[in-house]
Amino acid sequence: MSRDASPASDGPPALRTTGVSAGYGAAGTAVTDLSLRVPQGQVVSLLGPNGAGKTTVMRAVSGLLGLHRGRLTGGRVELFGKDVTGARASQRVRAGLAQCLEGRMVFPGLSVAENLASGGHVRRYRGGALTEARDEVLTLLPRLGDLLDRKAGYLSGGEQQMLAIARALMSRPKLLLMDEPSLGLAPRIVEQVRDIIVSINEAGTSILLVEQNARMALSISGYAYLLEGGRVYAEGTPEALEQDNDIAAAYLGAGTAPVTPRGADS
Amino acid sequence: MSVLTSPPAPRDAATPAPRAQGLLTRGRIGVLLWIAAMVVLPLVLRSELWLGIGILTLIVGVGALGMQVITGLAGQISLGHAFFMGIGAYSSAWLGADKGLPWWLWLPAAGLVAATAGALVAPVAVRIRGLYLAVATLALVFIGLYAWETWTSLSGGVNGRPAAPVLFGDQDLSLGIMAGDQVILDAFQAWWYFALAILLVVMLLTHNLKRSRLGRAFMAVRDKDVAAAVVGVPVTQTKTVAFVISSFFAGISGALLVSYMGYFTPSQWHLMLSVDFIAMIVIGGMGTVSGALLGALFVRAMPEVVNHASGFLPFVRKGTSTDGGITGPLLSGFLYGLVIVLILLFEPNGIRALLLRAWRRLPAPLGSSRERRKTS
Repeated sequence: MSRDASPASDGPPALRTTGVSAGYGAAGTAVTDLSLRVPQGQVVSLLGPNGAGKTTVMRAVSGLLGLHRGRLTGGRVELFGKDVTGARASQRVRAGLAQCLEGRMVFPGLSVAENLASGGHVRRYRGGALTEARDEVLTLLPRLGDLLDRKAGYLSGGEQQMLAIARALMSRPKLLLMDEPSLGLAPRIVEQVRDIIVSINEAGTSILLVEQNARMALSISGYAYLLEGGRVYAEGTPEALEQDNDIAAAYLGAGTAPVTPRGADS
Repeated sequence: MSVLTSPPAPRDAATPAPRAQGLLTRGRIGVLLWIAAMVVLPLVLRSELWLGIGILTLIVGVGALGMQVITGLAGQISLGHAFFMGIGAYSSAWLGADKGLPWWLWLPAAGLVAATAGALVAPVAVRIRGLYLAVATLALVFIGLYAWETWTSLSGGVNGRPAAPVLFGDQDLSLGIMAGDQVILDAFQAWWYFALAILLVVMLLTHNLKRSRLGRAFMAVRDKDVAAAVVGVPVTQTKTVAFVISSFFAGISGALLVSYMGYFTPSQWHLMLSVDFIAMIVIGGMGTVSGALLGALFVRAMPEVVNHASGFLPFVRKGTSTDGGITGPLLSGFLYGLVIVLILLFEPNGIRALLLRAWRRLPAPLGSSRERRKTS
């Protein structure tokens, strides 16, 4: 299981950032001197309040800062031991990175099948290979199989989130970044998303999970970083973080109801 | 561990999903019927007026497909289409009329020169979006107009210049195709088939492009450029390719247009021409081959239809009016505008979607399976 906190995996970590600083022009620095590590095969979550810099970290890792008029001002980003600090987004995807954006950014004008095909863009699947990759992904998210001809813009919020995840998996990533996958979803769907994340991880993909729903995230993570004001405020295993009363009260939503134990709804 | 909502049943890999296809490409039969109609039409339609309008429609159809690539597929609003058509027109005239090259050289060359211009403009154009892009490409039209008017040795200045002829051996397409003393095809029929052949090639290219990896990348950039970057589509590079392909089609269309007309002036490449092309894809249906063709037909033929129909109306004056009375062209303009507003009000997806809806309401054809309801 992914709850194993020790970096027992062999080889370099799936992701390592060293002293990363990034910001958006006049708006100043959003992230300062941030170092984090996602060991291969693990789920690591990145928690923190709005404006803590979680999404900026994601963009620094995926190479999308430029599209948001942001800039990496310092530090290194490594994927599987390879320095990708200056690499373009498409090169990082080729290196094994995939990302589910916040807000379920599917292509609304394309059908579900075309959305999935575009997820395999860098793999250049031809003919049968595309169907093969698609079927592989659909075993994890079988419901999408019935919606292949539907335009993505007409799907429900939950279905769009499933599609965003499936599209990210089409490139057969080794590291998956997930930005707020539970945002705006009904509790029942959040459960499903959580289970899907677990299945993806069990299939061998390392995951960096950004979540506001800290309880959900911690319930499936092996390690977590707490961000505050663009810096790492605390880090540790979920158990360690939960035992710290101050942290639990301030960040882990001591007042909110805990999610139902996994497996209760199936 | 599987706690997904439904069990991950092994999917039948041998059943590829049926694809939603365009009106004109709905099954091979639809395409063949359309081609057959296009082939027969000039043989039965004996009106030079309507044949002429038909030829112009076929030619601007090529340009409309170019517009469809950049705006309908890649989502970049370009007002520079007239500029690229002008470049195609002047390159073809220079190569074909001044240098005497055959059409099978000047026609692709016109496309290539326009595509090169597109590639030169792209580094700026791909870095701006929406209205800013529209304004930047608008500037191209005026730069072009100035260039054509001043470069008189190429353009003939405001008086215009002759275009390149289409010659097959010693036969000029604009004089008809003869075998000895026998007329096989008159000038209109010959031009119709020539324009149709080129249009079919461009249609096929666009259709295949849309279904290709590159086409999906275009549409990904159109729908959500950030998400496109996330799946590894190089956004600026993809937009550049869209500009180049679109300009290529525009150049071909411009070259054909002037060659058919025989003579042309700089004022033709004005902003209104670009606006016409945007109107075509919006009215016809964005992002589809059939939408571009229906739009080209509507924008080219509709004013003529209204113009001629209005001749039968009692309150419409023939010729010009000096006292504010309604004239044919005036009424035509009004009705044309009205129809555009109505289409966009009741079917924002254009004529293509209107026809598809009507098609679905038809009783099921004998023996054939009912058209499945699609959301497209």
